[in-house]
Amino acid sequence: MMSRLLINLIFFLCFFAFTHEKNEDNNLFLEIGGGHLPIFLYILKSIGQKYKFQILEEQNFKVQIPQEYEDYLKYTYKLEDMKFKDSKVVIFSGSIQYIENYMKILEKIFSNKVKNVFITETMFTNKSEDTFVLQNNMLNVKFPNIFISFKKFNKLFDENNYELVFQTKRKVGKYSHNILNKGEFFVKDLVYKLKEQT
Amino acid sequence: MKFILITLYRLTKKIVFYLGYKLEIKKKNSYTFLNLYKSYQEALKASKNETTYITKNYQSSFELLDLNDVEVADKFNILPLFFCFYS
Repeated sequence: MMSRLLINLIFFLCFFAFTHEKNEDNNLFLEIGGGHLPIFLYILKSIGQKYKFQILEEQNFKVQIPQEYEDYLKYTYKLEDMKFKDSKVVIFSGSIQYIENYMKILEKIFSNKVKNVFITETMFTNKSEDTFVLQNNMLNVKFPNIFISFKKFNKLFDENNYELVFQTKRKVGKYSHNILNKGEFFVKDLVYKLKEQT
Repeated sequence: MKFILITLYRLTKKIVFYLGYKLEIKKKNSYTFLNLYKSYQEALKASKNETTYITKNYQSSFELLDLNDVEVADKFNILPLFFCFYS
C-alpha cells in the first residue's frame, strides 16, 4: 500500500520535474475548505516556503491567523470573492464532497482556465449519477456528503479541456455505509491539468 | 443495576490485568455513512443539522494548528511535492 503510494508520488514528481514551468512572483493559490489545517501549513512544514493562499470557508467558520502568516493566508466566505482569475491552482482538500453547489465552483475554474486542479481524499462511485448520503462520524453530528460519480466528473473535466495527470484509488478502509458495501465506493486523489492550446 | 455492572466490570478488569491481559469494552462502531437520498437537500433535511459543516460551535472554536504538530505524510505529500517545483 505504502510502496504503491510512493511509486505514484515518484511518477508525479518526475512528471512535474519535466513538464512544469517555474512560478512567477505573487501567484495566488486557492483552497476550498482548508479549515484550521490549510495546505499552506503542509507546504511550509515540508519545503519551508510560504505561498499566498486564499481559502474559501463557510460563513460561520472563524479562525485566528498568527501574525507571521497574515500576509499569506486570507480566509474568504463568499464564492464571488474568490480570485479565480489570478490563480493557477485550485485545491479541494477533501472538501468537494460536502459542497452542494460544487458545479458552480467548477464552472468558475473552467471559465477562468485555472491551470491545475487538485482534489484529494474524496469519495467516488462507479455509478452514472452522484449519490447523496449522510456522514455520521464527526462529533456525533450528521451532515450531507456526496459520493461523486467518477465517470461523470472525469467527463466534465475532459469536456473542459483538462487532462487527468495523476490519480490514486484507495479502498474505503475504516469508512462504511449501512446500505452500500465497501466495494461500491472508494477514495481518490486527482490532479487535473489544463491542456495546452494548440 | 448499573452500579453493580460497573463494579463487576472493574473487578474483572483488575483480575485479568493481574493475569497479564487487558480487558476493554468499547462502544460498537456505527457506520460512517448512512442511507441514500435523492438530493443534497433531502439529505440535509434528514440530518436535522443547522449547517452543512459540522456545528456552529466547531466552526468557531479553532485556531490554526501549530506548525510543530503538522504531520506531512501519505496524501498530504501530494501538494508539497507539486509546490517544491514552484519554488
